Formats: sequence, structure tokens, C-alpha cells
Amino acid sequence: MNLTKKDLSNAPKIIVVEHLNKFYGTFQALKDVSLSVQQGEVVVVIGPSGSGKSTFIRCLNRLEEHQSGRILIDNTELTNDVRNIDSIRRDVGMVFQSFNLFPHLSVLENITIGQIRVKKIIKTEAEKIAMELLERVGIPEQAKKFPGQLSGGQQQRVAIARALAMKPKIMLFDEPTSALDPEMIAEVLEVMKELAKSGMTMVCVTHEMGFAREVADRIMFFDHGQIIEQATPEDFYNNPKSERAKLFLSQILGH
Amino acid sequence: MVKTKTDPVRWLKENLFSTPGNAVLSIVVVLVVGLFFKSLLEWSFTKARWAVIPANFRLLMVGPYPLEELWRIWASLIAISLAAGFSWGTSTREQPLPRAPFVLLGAISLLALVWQFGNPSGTLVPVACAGLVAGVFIGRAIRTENRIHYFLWTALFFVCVILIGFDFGRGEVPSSLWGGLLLTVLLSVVSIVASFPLGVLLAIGRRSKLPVVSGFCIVFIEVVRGVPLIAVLFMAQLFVPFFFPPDFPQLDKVARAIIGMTLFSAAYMAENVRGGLQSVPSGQDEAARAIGLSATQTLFLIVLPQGLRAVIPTIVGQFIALFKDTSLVEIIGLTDLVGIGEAVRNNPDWLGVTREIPITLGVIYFIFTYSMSLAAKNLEQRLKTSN
Repeated sequence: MNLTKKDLSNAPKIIVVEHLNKFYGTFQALKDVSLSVQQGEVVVVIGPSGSGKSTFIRCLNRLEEHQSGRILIDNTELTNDVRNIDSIRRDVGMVFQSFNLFPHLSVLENITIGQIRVKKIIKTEAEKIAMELLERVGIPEQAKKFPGQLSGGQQQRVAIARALAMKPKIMLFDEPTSALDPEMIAEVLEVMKELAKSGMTMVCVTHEMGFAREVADRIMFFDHGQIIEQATPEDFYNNPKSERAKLFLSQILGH
Repeated sequence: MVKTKTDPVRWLKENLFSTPGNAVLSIVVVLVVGLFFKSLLEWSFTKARWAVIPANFRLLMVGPYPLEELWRIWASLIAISLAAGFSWGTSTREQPLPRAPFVLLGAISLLALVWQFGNPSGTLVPVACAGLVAGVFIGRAIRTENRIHYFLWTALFFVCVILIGFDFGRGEVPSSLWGGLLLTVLLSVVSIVASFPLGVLLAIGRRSKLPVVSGFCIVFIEVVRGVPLIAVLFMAQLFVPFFFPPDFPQLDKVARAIIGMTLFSAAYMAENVRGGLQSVPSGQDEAARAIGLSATQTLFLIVLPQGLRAVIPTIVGQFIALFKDTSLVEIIGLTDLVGIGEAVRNNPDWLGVTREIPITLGVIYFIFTYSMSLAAKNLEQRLKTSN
């Protein structure tokens, strides 16, 4: 199993969340959520559907606005200030459940558009970086194709490359394998494992137990908009403390 | 698919006479259609006086445009042919050269040389055809960026407008002398070109979070869509002068008609584009924002290209409708193709000639609208393969 646990004792806190509250109308999606993530840490967020875990990581790059509490990303607070939001989005990459590749652009253009338009990198340089990333996720031969011509697993790997092209400090994964056919899950998880081992700070919403056990430094269990339990993977899977976590684990491990 | 040779009798049995009801229906339809075409053909080969068309061909094409200034039209036409050939050539560079269009161009040229389209300068038709062919070969030979075509066509547009209307030391050709097909094409091209960006802006404005902007767009769109085009054209004639100071040179009728049609078409365009924008999933917006693109970049680089693609057929349908609706300018005293047709019909020299003109006009309109349909189909096909 995971024998070489990272030493995070001296790593700075790159994500700090304090007393976060988020409402949809009168429904409270997040209730007083507080946590911090250290640089290089891999946090896996699990919980039943509707528990607020996706809402939580979407708050981290302001795809959702929170109503109260504080979010600090690399010491910059997420407020309504557009400059802060833009600078944080440059540092935070995101991978979505439904890939959300741009269907009218080629694979290569999907990966270069952010570099060229946001970071103002010249096209040839951006394409070089894109090709390196496609090598890294294992599909350089697909560069000229369009997203619609790729399999789900390949599309998700392109989406990871697209996020990495912005050289983010943090990567957010919102159920990256949930929309994939079973035989394609492994290829995406392989890329994510490699990324975790390279020292990337990652927050992943996923139900992939094997992945969580192998690379997660910490498991966060969400229910009803609250963090119910935080523990190392071994502790969490072997002796969950809360009743709700026990119930949840029995449901997803039961078959 | 493999085409299998079918026995015609069996085909008839299976497709037209499968049940007694179908058999009756088939016989009735064949009889009605047959009778119609029989009398149509009989009429067109015996009674019809087709001479009215060549005799008035120049009038139908350009209206009262002065004969000694026709070179302006020819120059524009040849330039457009060259550019169209060039764009066509570049976009089909990878495909083998089709033969049919060239045969058609050759036939038209030959016809022009023999018959001259009722006008000595008809001999310039082969020159325009040659220009088109030359354009195709230039387009296939030169490596170009897509951007060149936008520049080319924008420049050409202004060149043609200047050519057709402006003073070249021998007096301008006032717009009151523009007519026939020339006026129809001019009105529709300018209105289409102007209403497209305006409609896109209105669609974007309608989605704006600023109440002033979205409110203005909604009111404009709903009011214009609630008024018939004839009323818009009348209002453009009467109200446009209000917006200019009294000592300012007044816009002529053609410009006012163009303003009316542009505003009318833009309101419909806005709703079509809005439909397209709504069809783009919200995940596209989120993904674009997540990699740091600004709201404006997201709109113009990600959402708009996909939204417009989704509504190409609707937009082209609207352009076709606008092209045909230009015939309404007759009521504000402009003589477009239909207007000239009416004038010819009322000419005492051609008393009793009634059906020949509308049939010809129908064919001319069909050639234009069907070409637009084909171009749209082609565009869709090309975008589909890149998607």
C-alpha cells in the first residue's frame, strides 16, 4: 500500500476555509465548513449525493458564490473582487464530471486556448507545452482530433491536460470518473495517481476507493452540507467513527 | 449502400399501388399534376410571348440604371466573380475539381455570346465566368489563412457600393435610378450583413445582467417583432429624417429602406441567436471560466461559436425570407425586381403578357434562394466534419 507517506509537516497551508456557509434560496447547501489543505496534500472528499461535496469544491474557484465565511487560496481571499477571482482561477485547475471540453476546438486548441488568451504565451510555445502534456497523459497522437472523436477516458485525460496547461498550484476534481465506462476509469485514475505523486495539491470528489487508499493523505466525509469526519484513508475505511460514515461505507462497499 | 436494380413494375406496385386507397390517390395525383403540366407546357410553347423577357432583360436586371454607367455594375460583377471563385477554390482545395459547375459556366458564357442577354455588354458575362474560374485556380494554388477571406469580402463590399453609386468625375448614379435585381440584391445583402452583428449584439444584450441593457434589448426586440415589415418600412421613410438635423443632407429612400429592413431583421436574428446561445450547456461556460478566460472571452471564443453553429439553418432561413421580403419596398416607391416586373406588365407594348413575367421572376428568386440553401448546407457539412 502507501509506504512512502509524504511529509507535510512543514508545508504551508494553500487552502484555508473558515466557517463557510452557502445557500440556494432557503436551502443551506454548506453549513459552517472549515478546513485547511497543505501544499502537496491530496484530499479525497466523499459522501452521499446531495451532501454538498460538489458545491464545496466549486466554491473553491468561485463557480459558486458563498454567502458567509472566508476562503483563502494561497493567501488570497475569494471575494467579489474580479481581479482576485481571475488570479485564483489561474492558480486552480478544475476537472469536471462531464469533461466539458470545447467541442468546436481541436484537442490541441483546447489545451492552448487558455495559455494563449489568459497567460499570453505565443502560439508555438503553447503548442509545445500542450504536446508535452498530451505525452504526459498518454495521448499525443490525438492532438489534431476533435473532442467528439475521442472516447470518454481520452476526453477526460485531455481535460486534465487542459487544466494542467495553466500551471495550476491546486487541482480540483469533481467526480472525474463518474461519467466513464468502467473500462476507461483506470486510465484516468492512472493519470491522477501520477499527478498526486508529482506533488500536486489535489482536492478530489470521487468514490474510487482504491484511488483514495493509494494516494489520499486525508479523507473528508461530507453529509448534509457538513464535514462529518476527517481521517487518513486507513482509519476511515477500517474504523469509521460516525454512524453516518459507517452506513455510507456499508452501502457503497456492500456490493 | 449498394444500389440494387429494381423492376419498375414492382417498384410501382410497392410504392404507389400498395393498397386500393393508395392506388386511387396515386391516380388522382398523377392526373392533376399531369393536366397542370400539360396546359403549362402547351401554353409556354404556343401562346406565351417569351420575347418580353429578352426585350426587357436589362430593365429587370438593373432597372432604370443609365446605360452609359453600366460598366460600374460589370466591374462589380467581375470583381465578385473573382472573389467568389477564390473563396470557393480555397475552401475546396483538398477535394478533386468538380466538373459540373464549369460546364454550367461554359454554357452560360456560350449563351451570352450568342444571345448577349438583350444587351451588347452581355458579352461581358463570359469575362465574369472566366474571372470565377481564374479565382478557383488561384484559390487552389495559394496557401491562405481564413482571415484573408473576411478582409477580402469586407473590402469588396465597400468597393462595390462605391462603384455602383459614387461620382467618378462624370456624375454619380443617384439611388433613384437603381432598380430591378440590382436593387433587390443590394437591399438584401446590405440588410443581411448589417443585421447579423446587430442581432448578435441584441441577443447578448438581452442576456445581460444589467437591467437597463436587457430591458432596452427586450423592448426593441418585442416591439419590432410585433410590427409588420410594411409598417416598419413606412416608419423608416417617415421617421429616419427626424434623427438628423434639418440642414443635414437627408438619407435617400434606399438607405431608409435598408435601415428599416436591418432593424426588422435584427430583431428576429436576436431571437434566433438567443436560442442558439441557450443550447450551449452551462458546463462550457464553467470550463472556460475555470481556465481563467474572462466573461467576454468566454462569450466570444466558447459560447457564441457553438451557439451560432447550432442555429445556422434557422439563420439562413431568415436570410432567405429577408431576400424575398425586399419585394415589399415597392410600396415605398422603389422598383426592385418585382416592381420592375409589374412595370413591364403594365407597359402598353406588352399588353396581354401576364404570366411570363411572374414565372421568370420566380425562377430568378429560386436560383438565389436555393443557392443560399446549398451554401448553408455546405457550411454545416464543413463545420460538422470539424466537430
